Amino acid sequence: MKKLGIHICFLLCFFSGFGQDEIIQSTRQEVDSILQLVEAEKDPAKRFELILDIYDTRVEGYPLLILETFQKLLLIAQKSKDIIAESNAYSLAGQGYRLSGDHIKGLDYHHKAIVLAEKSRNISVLSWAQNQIGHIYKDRGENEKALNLYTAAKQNASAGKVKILEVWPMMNLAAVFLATNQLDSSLFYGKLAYEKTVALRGFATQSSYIFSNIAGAYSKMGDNPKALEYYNKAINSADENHSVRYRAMAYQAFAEHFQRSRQTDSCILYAKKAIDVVHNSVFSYLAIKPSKLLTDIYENSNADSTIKYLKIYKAANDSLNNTRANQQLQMMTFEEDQRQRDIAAEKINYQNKIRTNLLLAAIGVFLIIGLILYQNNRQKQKANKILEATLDNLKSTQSQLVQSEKMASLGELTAGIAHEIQNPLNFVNNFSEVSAELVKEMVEEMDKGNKDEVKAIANDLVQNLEKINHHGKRADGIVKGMLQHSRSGSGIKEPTNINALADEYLRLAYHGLRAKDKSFNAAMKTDFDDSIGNINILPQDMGRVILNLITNAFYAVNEKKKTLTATTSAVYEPAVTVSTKRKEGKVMISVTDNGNGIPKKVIEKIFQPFFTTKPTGQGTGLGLSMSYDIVTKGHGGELKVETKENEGATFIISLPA
Amino acid sequence: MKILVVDDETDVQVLFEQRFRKEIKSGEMQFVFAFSGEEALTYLNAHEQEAVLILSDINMPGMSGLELLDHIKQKYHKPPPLVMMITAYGDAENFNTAKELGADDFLTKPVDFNQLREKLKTIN
Repeated sequence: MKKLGIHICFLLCFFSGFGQDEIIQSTRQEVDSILQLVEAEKDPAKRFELILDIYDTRVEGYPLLILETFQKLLLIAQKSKDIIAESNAYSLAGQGYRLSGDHIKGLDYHHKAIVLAEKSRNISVLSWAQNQIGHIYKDRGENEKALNLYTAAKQNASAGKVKILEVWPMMNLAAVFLATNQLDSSLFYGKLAYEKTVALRGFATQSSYIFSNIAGAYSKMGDNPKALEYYNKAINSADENHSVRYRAMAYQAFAEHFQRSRQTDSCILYAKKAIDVVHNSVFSYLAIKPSKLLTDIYENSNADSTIKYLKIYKAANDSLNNTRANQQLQMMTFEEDQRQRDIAAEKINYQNKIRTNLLLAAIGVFLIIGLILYQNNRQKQKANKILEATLDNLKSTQSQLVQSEKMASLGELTAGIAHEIQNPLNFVNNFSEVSAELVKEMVEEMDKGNKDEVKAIANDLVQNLEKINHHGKRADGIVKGMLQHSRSGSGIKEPTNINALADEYLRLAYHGLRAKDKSFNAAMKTDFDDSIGNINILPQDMGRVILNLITNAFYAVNEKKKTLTATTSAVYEPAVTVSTKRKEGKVMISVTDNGNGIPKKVIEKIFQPFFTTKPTGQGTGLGLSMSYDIVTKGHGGELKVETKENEGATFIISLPA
Repeated sequence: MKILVVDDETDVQVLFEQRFRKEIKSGEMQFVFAFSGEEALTYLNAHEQEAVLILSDINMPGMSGLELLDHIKQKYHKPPPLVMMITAYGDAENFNTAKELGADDFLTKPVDFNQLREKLKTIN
């Protein structure tokens, strides 16, 4: 007992005597020089990191010094209107009151710190404020609340710029997980916190606390050698830092370890050490846990000791956990929770507002896109209308061209027709004149009584009348044909003598060309199959086809003749043959020329509209395409061409008969 | 007098035979007919110097009247027969060509047979 007394006396001298004053003095100097740097620094973010350096001093060992520092920092912050520094100042105050055992005031200041941190929108600062307020709940064993705060602090630290801030929530999470027996998590965070602290700062003021938690985790896991190793490290580190608080906490933790391993004597020894360390110090409330432990141990064996430690426990507990204080704290916590809920509601409101705005913006964008598309569509419709109009124009132009093609071929024919009509008319006139003479003569012979001569003249007269009739019909046919040709067809097929039709148009074409070009000449040959008889066709359309083919044939032979006679003295007899034939239920009408033939490179194109080999202005390029349409679409037949270069070409119309 | 009539219209034969019925009957005129330029040349080759006068249409398929005229005037010298050209087109170009080629006279359709008869009689 005497030995213990000396021991206590020594400890007291060591911690509360001259040694402590010197440490306080040097710590104050350290803190003041940091505050000077803080005041000189204008950038709030850099200031914040300087302020954090305060916690690397031994200031946390002396709550009064913390509160003194709080006052100094608050002045600096308010003077420069720096809400980050102000928040930090309140966090300091909160820590100062917490370590003094005044959780109510501590919580009050921490709340102020959090409000300002939120206002600053600096999540690193918020992380720090959250970490610091978490201690109060950790101290009071409100693990869930503490866990939430430390987790939020860790997340904000990770997201923020000041990475060292991650270390403290980790360290504290290790303590909370240890208290809630989540040992793997505790060990994980404990070791991570230590590694990171060493890596980032090179030293750890709080290493005693970290080691103590690691030791606690190993102890609860039953790994005694590891637990002992870390408890010793925790105690050594606390000694090195001259930290009463960490020393008491380390002893208490060690005592709990011995309780778990049922080493009662060692347990009592360290519990008493924990009480002794804080005796008469500002940390006297730390005697709660060891005194409770000792009360429980002595309860059934030593009444005196039980009472002694029960008293210590009650004193410590009253200072920290009296009923009024508990209620007030709960009220404050409730208010803070309410405030946080309001903030969350406001945040949701704000998010909804943003969402609404985004939605409106999106609708706006869609409207604009819609408008653009609508505009586009309208323009396209306009363009379409223009295109349709152009197409209509083209169609009417095409039909005009087809009409002018008809008229052009008619024009070519006009001269030929004049000749063709002139000839029969001449015959009609001549035969009627000569007949009149014959009648006079016949009367004379009658008077003479020359009966045989009268008979001969009468026979001539009959013949003449037949001739007149024949040539009158011929002229009539030509005129009708011309009218048919210029008229658009009736569209009704009628039985037609294809041989007569071909012959008529052959002659028309020949004389038409002759009328235009006097030097033109060609042999016309016909080879008609008389067995064909009448076939059902559109005569004016088919006549147009035949005329077109014959005109082309004449043109081809004429071209060859021109080039040959111009360059050589070779004998060339241009010839165009029109032949008909009934074959395998079909009627074939062929137009053959002995011209130059059709070159291979154009043979694919000859039936296309507007394709022509004639010089500009001489051909419309519609003749063959029109012919093709008439034969295929109008008559269900075929129009083919056979050609050999330099030898001529044959166009074959084949019609179903 | 033997007259060769060249025309692709076959009915000219009947017409001429009736128009010159009296002249033919009296033996004053003798008509031979060819229905193309080629046929006319064939006849002329076979009956050299027989025809005194040739009446030819200009517009014919194959060999035209002008070509025939050219042939006759170039190849039949002893004595060259008289050639009268007949055409439906009384235009200057055909007339000049025919003259250049040595046509002796130029008739336009419709042929005035009384005039033709007078001309033939003066030649005779």
